[in-house]
Amino acid sequence: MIKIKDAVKKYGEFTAVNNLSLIVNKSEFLVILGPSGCGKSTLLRLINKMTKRTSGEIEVEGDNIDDLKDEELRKSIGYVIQSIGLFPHMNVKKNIATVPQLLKWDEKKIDKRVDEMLLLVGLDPKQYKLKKPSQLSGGEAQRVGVARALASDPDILLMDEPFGAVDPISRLRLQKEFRQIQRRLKKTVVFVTHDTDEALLLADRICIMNEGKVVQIDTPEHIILHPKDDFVRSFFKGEGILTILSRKDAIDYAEPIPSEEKGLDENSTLREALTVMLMSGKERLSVGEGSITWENILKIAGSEINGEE
Amino acid sequence: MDRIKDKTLLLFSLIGAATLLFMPLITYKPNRIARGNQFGSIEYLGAAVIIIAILWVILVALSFYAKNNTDMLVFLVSVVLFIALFWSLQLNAGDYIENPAARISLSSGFYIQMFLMYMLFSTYTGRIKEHRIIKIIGFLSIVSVLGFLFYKGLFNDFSIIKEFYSKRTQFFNNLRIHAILTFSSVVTGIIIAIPLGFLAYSKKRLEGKIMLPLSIIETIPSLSLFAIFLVPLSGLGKLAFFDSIGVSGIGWAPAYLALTLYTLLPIGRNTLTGFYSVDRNIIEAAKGMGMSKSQVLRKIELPLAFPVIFTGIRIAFIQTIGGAVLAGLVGGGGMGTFVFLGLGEASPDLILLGVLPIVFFTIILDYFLKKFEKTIRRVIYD
Repeated sequence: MIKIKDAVKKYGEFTAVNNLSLIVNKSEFLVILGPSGCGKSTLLRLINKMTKRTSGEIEVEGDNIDDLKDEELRKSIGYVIQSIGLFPHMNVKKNIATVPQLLKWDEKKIDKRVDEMLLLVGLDPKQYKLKKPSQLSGGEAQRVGVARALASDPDILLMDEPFGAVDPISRLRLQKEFRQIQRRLKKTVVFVTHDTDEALLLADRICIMNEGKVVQIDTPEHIILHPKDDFVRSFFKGEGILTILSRKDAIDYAEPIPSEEKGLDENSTLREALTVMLMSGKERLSVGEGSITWENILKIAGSEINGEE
Repeated sequence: MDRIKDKTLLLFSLIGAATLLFMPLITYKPNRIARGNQFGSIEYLGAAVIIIAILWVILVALSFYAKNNTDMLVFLVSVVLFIALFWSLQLNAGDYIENPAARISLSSGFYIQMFLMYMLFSTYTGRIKEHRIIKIIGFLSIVSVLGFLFYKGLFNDFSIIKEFYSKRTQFFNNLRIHAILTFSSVVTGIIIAIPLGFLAYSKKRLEGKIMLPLSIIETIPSLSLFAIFLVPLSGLGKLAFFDSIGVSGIGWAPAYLALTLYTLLPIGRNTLTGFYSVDRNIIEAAKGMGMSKSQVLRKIELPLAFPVIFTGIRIAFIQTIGGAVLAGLVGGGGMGTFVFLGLGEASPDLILLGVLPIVFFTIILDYFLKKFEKTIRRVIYD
């Protein structure tokens, strides 16, 4: 899908990306996590040639990116940045239609696609199509940004802290909805962030970067339970197990024994189940047709920690 | 002090009333070059002075009130005052005229009141936000009444009108030349300065090299520029092609050249600022989506920079209408011809004949260009 081999980016004496090699698999949600200045944004921009690399090779879908013109490459990759960068002088419809128009799709196809994309990100087309960016809230603008990036149906999305400028409540909603969209459409996503919780919530694999190099790249569960060194360990501070539990839906681990104790719904995660149990003092809670128990959750956590998948 | 709701209005209206009553309104001259005698409003206007005085007093009184529509009332009273002043001016004019060469000149009392009216109008039209139709009706009635009086020849005894009639063809000719000079200089400035401004923006190391000369040009007095151009242009004028279109050290060529140079700074500087004002993130997003450099320029940078660029064009226009007066110095035609003629003959009426049209057109042009600017901003951003 995306193959990065020995990529180097130097700014004078300073090395931002230091002999980095990485493979992003098809339909994978890869999160690049690291502290400020570790080179994660630079790495992202090397992929779509927004930044020219000093040396190394990058292949996208089998093609060496140097064989393609910059514009051609970028039209086939979705790009979302933190400040979104919606065009203030165009309405939502024209913003979303940008790349399809660059690709010379016909008008009817573009119209349909704009409506599809707005529905996909949870905005009512009739209400939002003609609005100007200045009339949108932060969360709405971010959704339009995602819609715009997906409009031409690229296989790959590059995202640089796209939800950073949004309030925490909207951010959580956006994160969850986006994860569902990605799973449904099977897009390959390379997502840069410095937010640990965001990484754990979204990623199929997390790539931890520091000082231009990859420190560890693995699934969230493995990284939390088997951190390579103290640097990686410091990221998750031991509470990682709770976040792993928040990635599991309670209904997937329920026993077929009905219970009267309310407090959970069918979308609740194991972490939420744990919280409700602590608050209510009950050891068994109803979920869906069955129920989940305290002991059950302990067993699941235990098997995670011991690496029994 | 608290009882006074509108100190500006009080000041203006008190000065207005005092001017009306105590300052000379007109000067009567038996011929063009005689010094003439001054007459105050009470003597010249006769009974009509009461009406005007009452109107000023009403304005004084209004400065003590602060109701919702006080501003509208002030505006309306000002309109009536303006019309009444002009109406009463021509009422008794015929009584004074003893021979065909005699004329009436306007004096300081009139000009001060005109200045006060201008201040009142500009302040209060700005303050009134609603009922735009009333503002339009007000100005239309002024224009139509004055136009009517003028058309009927009721102002023909006034010196400035006499000058106008005696130089009528010249007047319209020069008006045409003035307009052509203004427009051609600004258009040439646009063609040169916008690309220059864009160049200064896209190649940072050229920014200083481009902007500095433009700023320096702006500081050179026009007379010096004309002197600088005198020799090269007369030399150029010797060549057949240039001679046939009238290029020489004097005439339209140095004026056009100087005026064009003066427009370069406002247009160039605003082009530079306009492009800088475009948010970097927007350009980043556009590039990242696969737009080429020229597509980014065409679809993103130009539309977003345009409002600021247009402001520069508007400034250049206003600057050039006034600046074109200097063409009169080098025989280039335009309203400046009358201004310098009047200066040479010590005839204030000739000077006014040149200046008033310029003031009038500056106000009109500024108004319409501002409206156009607002429309553009609205279209681009909403």
